[in-house]
Amino acid sequence: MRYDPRSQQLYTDNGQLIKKLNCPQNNPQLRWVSGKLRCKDCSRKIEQAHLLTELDLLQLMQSQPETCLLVAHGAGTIQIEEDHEERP
Amino acid sequence: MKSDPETYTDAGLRIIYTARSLQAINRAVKLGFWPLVKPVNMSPPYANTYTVYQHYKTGNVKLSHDPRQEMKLWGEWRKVADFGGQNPVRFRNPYAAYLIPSDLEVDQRVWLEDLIEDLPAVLGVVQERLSSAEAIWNGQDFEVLPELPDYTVG
Repeated sequence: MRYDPRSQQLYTDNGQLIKKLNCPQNNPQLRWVSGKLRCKDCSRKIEQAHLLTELDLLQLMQSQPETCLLVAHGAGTIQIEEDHEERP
Repeated sequence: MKSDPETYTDAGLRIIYTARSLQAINRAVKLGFWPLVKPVNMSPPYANTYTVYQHYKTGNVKLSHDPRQEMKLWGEWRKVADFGGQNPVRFRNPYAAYLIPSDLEVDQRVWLEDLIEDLPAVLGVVQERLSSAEAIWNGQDFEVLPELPDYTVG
């Protein structure tokens, strides 16, 4: 998987869009409650993207598109795309 | 539970202890605690996962907890034990209880000295089990504050 911080979009390795991560909270407060990851600012379910396969994520976004995804920038299974400055 | 437990951490957080046997739970009840009983996951997903490398000249050994480093650690280092997991924690009973003091207030920050739930030490990076954690009491349960690397949610 690849995540582009500029467009805030998570893609599969072959470029299929999984989700645009557009949380309105700048710094959502996350908590573990009874073993599940929850957001203090809203009640949406949060899934950790690195724990799921691309196929699972695509199916999840089709069946429950309101589900929030957490992309941990240190997770080895998700490549964070670097900023590329425009060159003349 | 310790016989003479500390009440607060050096940082001023109320310490919440865990009892992992029927006797310890009921002893705490007699002392005025409310036991918040929870199941203990018998097949925790989080384990100490690592690869063991040995320097083929010196014999020195080092561990890698990060599977992404595997490609970086060749050269004079040889893998002597493959990346694998071993659950470091074995609990005898399938239940445990956080011992809630009667004067604990809603929204009070606490230190869970012996975490019952299986949670990752650092989200997304190393799947190692968290053993203690800072949390907030919401009146019914503890909300554990996760340790997060850089992350995005949406």
